[in-house]
Amino acid sequence: MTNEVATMVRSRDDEIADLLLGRAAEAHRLAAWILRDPVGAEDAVQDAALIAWNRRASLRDGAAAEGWFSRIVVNVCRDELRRRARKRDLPALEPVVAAGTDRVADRDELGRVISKLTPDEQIVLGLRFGRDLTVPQIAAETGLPEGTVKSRLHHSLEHLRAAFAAEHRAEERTR
Amino acid sequence: MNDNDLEKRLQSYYSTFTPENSYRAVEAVDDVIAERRENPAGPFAGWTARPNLRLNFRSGGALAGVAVAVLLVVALAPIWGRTNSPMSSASLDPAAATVQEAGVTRGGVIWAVRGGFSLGISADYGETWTEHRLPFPDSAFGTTSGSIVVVDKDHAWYSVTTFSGSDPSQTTGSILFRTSDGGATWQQTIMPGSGPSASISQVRFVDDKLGFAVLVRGSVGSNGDVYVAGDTILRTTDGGASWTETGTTSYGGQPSPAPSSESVAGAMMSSDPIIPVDANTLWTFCSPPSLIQGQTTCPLLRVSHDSGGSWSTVSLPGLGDTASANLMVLGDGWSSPDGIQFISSTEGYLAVSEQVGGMSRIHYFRTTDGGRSWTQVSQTEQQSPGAAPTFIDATHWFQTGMAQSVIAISTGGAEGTAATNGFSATADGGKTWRILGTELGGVTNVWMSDDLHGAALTTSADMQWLLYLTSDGGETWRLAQLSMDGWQAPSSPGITVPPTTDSVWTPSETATSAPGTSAPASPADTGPASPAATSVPIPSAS
Repeated sequence: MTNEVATMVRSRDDEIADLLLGRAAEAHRLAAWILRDPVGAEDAVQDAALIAWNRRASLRDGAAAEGWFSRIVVNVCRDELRRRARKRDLPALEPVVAAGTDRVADRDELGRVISKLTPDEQIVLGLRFGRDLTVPQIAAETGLPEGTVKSRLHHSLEHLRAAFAAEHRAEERTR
Repeated sequence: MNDNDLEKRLQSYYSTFTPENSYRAVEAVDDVIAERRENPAGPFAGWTARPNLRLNFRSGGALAGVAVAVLLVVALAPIWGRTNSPMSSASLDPAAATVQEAGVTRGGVIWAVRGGFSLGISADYGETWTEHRLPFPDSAFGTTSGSIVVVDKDHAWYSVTTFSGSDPSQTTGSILFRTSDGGATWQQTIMPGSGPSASISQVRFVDDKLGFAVLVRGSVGSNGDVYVAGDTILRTTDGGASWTETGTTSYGGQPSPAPSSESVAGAMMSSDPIIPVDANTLWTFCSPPSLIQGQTTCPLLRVSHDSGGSWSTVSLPGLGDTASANLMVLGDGWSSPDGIQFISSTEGYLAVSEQVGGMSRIHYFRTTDGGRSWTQVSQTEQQSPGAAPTFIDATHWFQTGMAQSVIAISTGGAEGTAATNGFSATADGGKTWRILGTELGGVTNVWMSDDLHGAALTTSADMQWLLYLTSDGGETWRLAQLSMDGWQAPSSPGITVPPTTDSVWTPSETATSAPGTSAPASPADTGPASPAATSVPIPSAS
């Protein structure tokens, strides 16, 4: 390797390093919303950074770099959600709110129902309601067609709506 | 719980997972970069998966023993405004065009479901609407999202699968409601054979009497996996009051789709779609669920002349008879437009997407002999396959999805147009295409009853789905106006159904609307009095 090429590679590596470090906090929030687990999200970001670094040669368009890293984070989270679906014995690493409030039960119920959705549906929910993205933005972030994002979001909300409608009726019947 | 309540709850819920800080994540990334630079040829070079082991070059080791993070619940004020379309005027209310499902019949009847609880039907291309509440089985703890079929302004069917407890995957049976007065009253039939391990997956009607349904047998495992054991095709000739088993969509001894090999918790059991042409002729094609759920190939196109008792695989010229991830009939199998469309007993159309070198090559086929032979009549090459087109006749076709990509090649030299929204239309059988509806934003569905009249469902930036109408082939659009002032879909159905398997349900609220008018629901509009409320027995597994 000549010095000139070595310098170019070093420079590009520096750019990738700056990108990954600059995006780490946002990637952490993204993973936290998808996984609903800020601590587990740190591991996801670390894994994503490793994948991104190893694949950095495939990144040809610097302008697309931010979306590229976000998609890697999303993919890592998808794998993690699949792992969790298979291993239901993993302890939930969810934050705790003050005990004795209605929100505890509310959160538990929401978390339980959301956990039953497919990983892709959980991703779409996290991006929509955690990161507050629109359907086109979610499509861009995940690389999915907008129609697919819409149908996954629709399906997720239908499941949640049905579950809570049932819960509401159960409460009314016990009164 | 209405839509806004659920969305507020979700926003509040997800806000609790916003990390207080991310310094450990930044540190972890820094560690990765440092390790990779120091040891570029080390054990992790080129390694992109993490099967079981944990990386251990994090400096702080801060995760060890840390299993709980305490965060404050921040109830974010929901930002849930509405985006007005360029065409919406002050007199048109986007809320009145906000729907969940919609469709247009070949006869020009437009229907839409709002709030999950009301069905609006218009027989005059959206000038006036009649809106009725959808029925709900009293004994059910809950129902999965229902499916609507409308064949004309009077006749519609609404199928739901009931579940017990708060888990929608634990189903108890399926119920089909039918109406012959536009939704004012409903009769219900418990679908024979439905139960905890069998539920209705699709309902199709040819006219107000002849229809088919598919009952999928299977189960949802404790780990959330869906196992499909097979399905049964049922036929009715009396509008849905009684059903007779006629066949199955399964082929070669395999259920269609096959048991899932991947966790699809919360997924619905489904089968390949059936498209009935008459009392005996059914078509089906390999749908995405078949391939998603563990299969690599399946028959591209099949036809049955004995209502599903037996199937023949149909080969398409140049494409063969086997579907794969790279070769499929366009149509997702559960939403309209159908993947196969017969506009008469002999004339039909379909489109097949073939993945070629990263592009989607779309082959358009036509039959004029009832499907005995198919001829490719057009071809395009584009970046994404798009949805199934609506075929009006031999020349007028409408398609969503393809407008989002560049149409590169067509048999007649297509207009090469890049667009990010809208849909595509051709008036010369696919030789040339135009991009229409770009001003609507993201068009997710377009339905046309003829070359002029139709509807489009769009997704706005704030996640509202708006229904637009056209009377000039898609050149101009107007917001549908389903509701009258003051009409609100109920937040909870609270509807009861008598305990017979063929009973009448009468809603207590009905609304009729026209743009710019206001007329509160009148008890006089609600039809006969509701029968006494008791529970509906839900069949158990047999």
